[in-house]
Amino acid sequence: MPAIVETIDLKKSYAAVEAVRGINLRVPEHSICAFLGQNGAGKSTTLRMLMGMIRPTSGTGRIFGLDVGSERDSVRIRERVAFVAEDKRLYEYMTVAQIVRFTRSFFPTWRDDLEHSLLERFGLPRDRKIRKLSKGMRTKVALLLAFARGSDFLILDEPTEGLDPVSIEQVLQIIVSLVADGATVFFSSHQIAEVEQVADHLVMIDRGQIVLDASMDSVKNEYRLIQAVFSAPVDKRDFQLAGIERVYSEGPIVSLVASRNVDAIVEQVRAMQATSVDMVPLSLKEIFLETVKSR
Amino acid sequence: MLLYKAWLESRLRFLVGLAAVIGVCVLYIRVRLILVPDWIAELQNPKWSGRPTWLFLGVHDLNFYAWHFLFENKLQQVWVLFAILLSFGGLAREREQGTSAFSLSLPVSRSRWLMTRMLVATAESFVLGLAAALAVLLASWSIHERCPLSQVIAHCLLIVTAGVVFLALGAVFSTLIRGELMALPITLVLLGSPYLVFQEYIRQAAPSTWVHRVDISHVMAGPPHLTLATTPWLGLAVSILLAIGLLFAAAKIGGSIEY
Repeated sequence: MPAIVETIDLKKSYAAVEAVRGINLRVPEHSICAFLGQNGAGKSTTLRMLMGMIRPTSGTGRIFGLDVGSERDSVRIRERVAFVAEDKRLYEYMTVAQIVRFTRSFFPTWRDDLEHSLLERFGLPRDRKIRKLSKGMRTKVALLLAFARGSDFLILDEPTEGLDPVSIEQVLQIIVSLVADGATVFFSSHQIAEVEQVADHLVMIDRGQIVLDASMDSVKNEYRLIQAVFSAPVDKRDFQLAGIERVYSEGPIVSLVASRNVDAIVEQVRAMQATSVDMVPLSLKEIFLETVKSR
Repeated sequence: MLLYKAWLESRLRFLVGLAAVIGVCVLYIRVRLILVPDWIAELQNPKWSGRPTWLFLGVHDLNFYAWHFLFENKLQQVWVLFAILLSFGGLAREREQGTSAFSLSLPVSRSRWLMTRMLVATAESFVLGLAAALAVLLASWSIHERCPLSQVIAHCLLIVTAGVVFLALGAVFSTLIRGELMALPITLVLLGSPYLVFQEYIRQAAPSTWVHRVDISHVMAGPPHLTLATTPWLGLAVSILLAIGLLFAAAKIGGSIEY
């Protein structure tokens, strides 16, 4: 599938600190791509580099084939990309209606139908100043301003943060419907359940490096927890097979986290005289924790 | 819509500035009713020898009085203060307020953000100048004297045109220094300290000396009677060119800032 975003060895350093350490990112077209990582892993820095707000230290990044490091290209990228930043701050002196009118003026593809329906669905008061809105309401305004742009590509940095469960469900439904209409969404989140619900592609970043980049189906199908019981205690070092991400042992019981090559691993464990071998799928939360912990 | 946004952001400062320039103009023209009788008494007192040279002109010529107190002095200072204040803001302020990510998600280049803000600040400063002219004229009529319309307008236009360099300086300082609470005092100290240090020398120096050629305050005031021939064209040109250079510098600095 063609990619909307492609980065090659993209790096960002602040003095001696390497925030992003040479990532090769690919966001497939017409996908909902989730960007997972712990706090400070480099998610927001990556998203801000893609939007031209900060300059990469080295490497290249392209959206729609346009260079994210060039001011001229960045303006053209922003004509086609909707972005919601992590803090979702908006002009406090404007009313909801004013900021909608202001933002609409920059986008010929603005969707009036979506604007009106989201104002209704989110229950946003048109004449109220942004400064008088609750944090959740401000998030809804920021999302409305991104969704209604009619953009081909949406970059959302923790879009549901601070929203109630009903609103989160609404937002996820809108994201799915936009992708069904042909858009691509790249979003960061700490809410694994949301990611599991809507994402069809997964990118995990840890300490500035991509540690997982795969489709959601392959992640769910391939990650397994293999539990084996032996007649005597075994050494962890006996389990150095391709696809084993992590090994836990407690006396004769061994638990293996496998990311691929599961059948061969099970075969090998059986060959080591295990008295029983069980295999269970891992939830996305477990996969995330194991991937981040294993480093 | 960018112009509209810049206006919404600066309108409070503009309205305060409008009140300030009108206030200072009306105050100094109206206070003439109190000052002139005292000055006449001083001029008629043969024992008092330390009369400043401007006193006679100040008593008999309202145009000179307005030039001495307003165009060369208080109005100029108030206008410069508000010109700097009006030039503050934009992406530099948004970085502090946290809204720069939203602004930079719009398809607008950083230099366009800057130029839009400067366009609005220039227009507002121009209106402050015209409001000052109107205030001087109305206040002079209220004390039953006449200040020549052409002179008042010409002096106010000179303040605004020569003072455009302060707008550009404001843009540079507000881009360079994070936080307006810091940027304003630093700008005022950097601009004002040469005047505090050299003010006596500047005051006593002859009009033809080098110090008056580089003194922007002198260019903004012009001579008391302004004509095409007495307009400080060279100073005006230098101020405008300097402003253009400073704006390019502000755009360059702003382009390299990370948000």
